[in-house]
Amino acid sequence: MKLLNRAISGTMESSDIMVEIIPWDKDLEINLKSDVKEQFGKKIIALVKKIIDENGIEKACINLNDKGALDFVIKARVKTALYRSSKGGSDE
Amino acid sequence: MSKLRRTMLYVPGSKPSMIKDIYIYKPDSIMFDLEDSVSLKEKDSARFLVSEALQNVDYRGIETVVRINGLDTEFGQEDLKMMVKAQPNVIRLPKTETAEDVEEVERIIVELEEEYGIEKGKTKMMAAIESATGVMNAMSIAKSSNRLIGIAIGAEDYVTNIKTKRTPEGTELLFARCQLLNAARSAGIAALDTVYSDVENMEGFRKEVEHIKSLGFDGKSIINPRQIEIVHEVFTPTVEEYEDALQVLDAIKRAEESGSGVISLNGKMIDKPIVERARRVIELSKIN
Repeated sequence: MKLLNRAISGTMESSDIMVEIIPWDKDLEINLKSDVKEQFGKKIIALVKKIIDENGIEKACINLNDKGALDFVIKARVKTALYRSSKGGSDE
Repeated sequence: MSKLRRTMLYVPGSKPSMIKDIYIYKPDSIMFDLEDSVSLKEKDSARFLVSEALQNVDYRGIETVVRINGLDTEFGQEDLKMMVKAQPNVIRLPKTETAEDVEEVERIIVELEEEYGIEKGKTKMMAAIESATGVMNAMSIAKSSNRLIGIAIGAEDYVTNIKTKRTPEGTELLFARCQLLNAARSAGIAALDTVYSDVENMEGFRKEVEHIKSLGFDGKSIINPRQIEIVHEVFTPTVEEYEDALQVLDAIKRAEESGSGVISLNGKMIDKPIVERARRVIELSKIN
């Protein structure tokens, strides 16, 4: 998969996560904001990294703003952001 | 007995907070919506969200249904592609007007099942009928595919199409409801009624549920978990109905044991349809 532009998915509502993907030339960087970062931060980042790896992405900046999302929501939001970025749309 | 479908609870496919624990309300079916409740901008994200939910959340054996966008929209094909892969129990077609509408979706499902290595015929379908043309074609729609588990009426679009609006009495829907119900029964599939949008009017809701139950419907699409209890209550036989049914089955048993050809109970003849109804009452009572 090739990222074409900045893309966002998700909301700031409870049980959701907002994912921003910015293609860049540097190595992968994942930044997380979450009320439960201390307890679940490593797990959330590992899950996001796994999806990014599966899609063969090595260079991108991923910003996550978590509002208590379950794993299936995190997966869906990351996949949506990747899809939007690769389609070249949704540059908000 | 056949699968209970008294309540089919809508959940917008774009709302993680609702999707994650909707099963706690114990509807008979959960219907994830990709169509009217999802904005055009979020059609793609709803697809991913529902797909991941279906593959990762344990819905405790509750039937899962996904309402896709029509194939006449730019979203329908992609919805089908992702949903057949995610495997809800049933895919619900909106705004079905002809048997060909069902057959067209089925053709794509057959191809996708083959592509994904899913057992042929596993993906079931149901069709929502929401126009005068659909109502007039209800019979051919109901018999158009072995995958169809039921047909449902979508009243809001239908009443607009026939140039009227919904009333508390529901006279404007009587023809369509009866037409759908008879088509479903003739095809041996479920008949599901439309939503009742005023979630604050529980009295009006109960009256409508009693009405559609008396017409013969299997259940109703609902938009709020608060409506579940009323539907299940209305569809649960009363103690009196249960006791009457037990008496009927007892009379049958005694007649069979004594080799009597004619069966009567309290002066009334008991025949096959009465026995069938009594069995249904007992089954429903056991579930509740």
